[in-house]
Amino acid sequence: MVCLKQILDPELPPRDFRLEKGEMTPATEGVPLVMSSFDQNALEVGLQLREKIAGATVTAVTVGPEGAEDVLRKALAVKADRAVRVPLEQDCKLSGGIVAGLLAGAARELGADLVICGRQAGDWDGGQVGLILSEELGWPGANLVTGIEPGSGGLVLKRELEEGYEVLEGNVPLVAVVTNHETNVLRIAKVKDTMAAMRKKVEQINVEPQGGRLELASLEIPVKEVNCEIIPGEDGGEKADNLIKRLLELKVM
Amino acid sequence: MSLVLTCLLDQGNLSRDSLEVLGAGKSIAAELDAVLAAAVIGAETGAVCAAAGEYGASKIYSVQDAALEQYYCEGYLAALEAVCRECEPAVVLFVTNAQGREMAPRLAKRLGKTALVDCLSFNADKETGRIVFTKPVFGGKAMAQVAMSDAPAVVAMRRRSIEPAQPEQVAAETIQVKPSAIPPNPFKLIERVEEQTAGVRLEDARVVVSGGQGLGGPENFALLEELAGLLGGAVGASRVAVDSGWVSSSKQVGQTGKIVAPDIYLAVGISGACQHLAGCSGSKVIVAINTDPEAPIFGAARLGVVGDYKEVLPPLIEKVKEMA
Repeated sequence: MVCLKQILDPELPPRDFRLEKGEMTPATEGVPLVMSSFDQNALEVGLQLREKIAGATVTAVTVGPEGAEDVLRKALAVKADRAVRVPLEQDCKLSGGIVAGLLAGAARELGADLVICGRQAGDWDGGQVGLILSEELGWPGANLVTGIEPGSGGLVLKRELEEGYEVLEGNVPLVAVVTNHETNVLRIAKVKDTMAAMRKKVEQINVEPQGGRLELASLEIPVKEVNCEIIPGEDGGEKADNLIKRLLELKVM
Repeated sequence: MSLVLTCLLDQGNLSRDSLEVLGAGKSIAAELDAVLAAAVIGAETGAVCAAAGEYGASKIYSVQDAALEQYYCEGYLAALEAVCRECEPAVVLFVTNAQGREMAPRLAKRLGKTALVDCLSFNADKETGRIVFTKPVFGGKAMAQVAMSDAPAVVAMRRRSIEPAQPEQVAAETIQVKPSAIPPNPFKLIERVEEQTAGVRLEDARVVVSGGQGLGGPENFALLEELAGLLGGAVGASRVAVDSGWVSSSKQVGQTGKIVAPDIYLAVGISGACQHLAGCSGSKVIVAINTDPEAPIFGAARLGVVGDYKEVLPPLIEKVKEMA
C-alpha cells in the first residue's frame, strides 16, 4: 500500500501564494494541485519492489475529497494495481494523526503487508503521518528510506543517515517512510496508460475519523525585507572583483 | 510544578543538537516557571547526565540498559515513554535531526497527542501555560502558529534556530527509570556506510558554495569544490542536483536537507525554491549567481550576480588565490 496526498503545487512562486481571506488556509482557486513529491518517491519505491517480487501488487491510497482521486489516476497511469480513496472532506492541516488513523483503517481492510509513505507532504510539511501510522498499526517503522529490495530473510531497506546510509533487514508487516534519492524519482507515465487510467475504477474505503486536532492560532505569509544588490561589471572578471569587494566591505570574507 | 523535558540522545559528549534542545528548554522553563529536566538514554549514561547538570538541567531522568548502547527508534521510544510516564512533563523537546524527526511523532502518539516538528520559535504564557510554536509550512511560503495547551506538548525545534545552552551548574538530581520492557530492534543492521566529508562539515562551514540545476551536470561541481576548498568552506546542493544524481544527498540544503547558516552562502545556478531557501535563510549574506534575473533566488539574496557562473567563478577563484 502506497499513501499519496494531493497538494497545492509547491512550485507555485511565492508571489502567487495567497491565503483565503479570513481563513487559515491557502487560496486554491486557479492553483494547480499535484501529487506531493515525497509521495512520488514512495510510489516509485513501491513499483520497483513489485517488479522484484512475484505476485506482489501496489495499491495506491489517498485520503481526501473526490477531487483527490486525480493523484490515484496518476498512480494508475504508472501501473499501480489498485486505487483506493478514503473519503475525508476537511483538510487536516497539521493534525496528521487523523489521516494516519484513516490510513491505518485502509491498511487493515486491504490486508496490506507493507505500507510506504512519503516523509512529509509539501503543503503543511507535518512530517508525521507515516510515523504515527507505524504506531497506529503496531508495526515497525523505518524513516528516511530510499529503496526497498527483497532479501533472503525479508525485506532489505536502504535508509539515509545524517552522513551516509545504512542497510537494514526487516520482516513485514512494516511501514517505510521514504525520502528522495536519485534512484526513486517517479517514472513518467505513457500517454496510452494515462488514457487507460481515466477509465479504471477507484475504490472507496470508509473509515471513521478519530483523534484530536492541533490548534492553529494563525497562518501568515512572512514579509521579506531583502533587497538584492546586483553586482555591476562588464564581464565575469569585473563582476568577480566587485563581488569580492562587497564581501570584504560586509566583513564576511 | 510543571516540567520541561529535553531529550538528549547522545552517548558521551553533548552534541550541538543537545545544547540547542537544552537552550530551548531553558527559555521555555523560565517563561513557564517550570523545572528544566533532561532524559538521557544509553548503556552508560553517567557522562551525559553529568553534562546535562552542567548545562542547567536540575532533574535528570536516566534510562540505562545494555540493550540501548546504540540508538534505535523502538528501544529509545520505549525508554522515553517510560520517562514521560514517570515525570509527566508539560513539554517534551527534541531537535529536528534524524532521531528527533522519527521519535517526536511516535512518542506523541503513545502519549495520546500530536507532535509538531521543525519549529523555529515559541512564545510561552506563564498565566495560562499556553505555548505557541511557530513552524514554516508550504515550503516556507507561510508561517503557522500552533498553540499547544494540553500537556504534554511534544515538539522538535529546527536545528540552528535556537541558541545553544551556556554552562550553568545547578544542583541536579538524577532519577533512574526502568522501563517494564525494552523491545529488541525489529531491524537487523546489514551495513552502515558513514560518509567521510573531506574538510569542514556542511553544517559547520562559514562559507557554503551550493550548486543547482543551472550547473547542468555533476562535472561542473568541481569548480564549486575548488572555490569552497580555497575559502575553507563546504559544498552544498539543491534538491534537483541531488535527484539528478550529481551529488550525494548528504549535501542537500533545504527544508528536508541540511539547514545551514554560514557567513556566506553562494548559490550557483539555483533558482531558489522556497524549500531550498528554508535551508539557508539564516545565512549572513546570500550571494546568487544566476543567468536568469527573474529567478526567485534574487528575491532572497543580499548580493546578486546576473551572469553565467562559468564566466564568473574562474576569475573569482583566481582572485581568492591571490588574496591567500
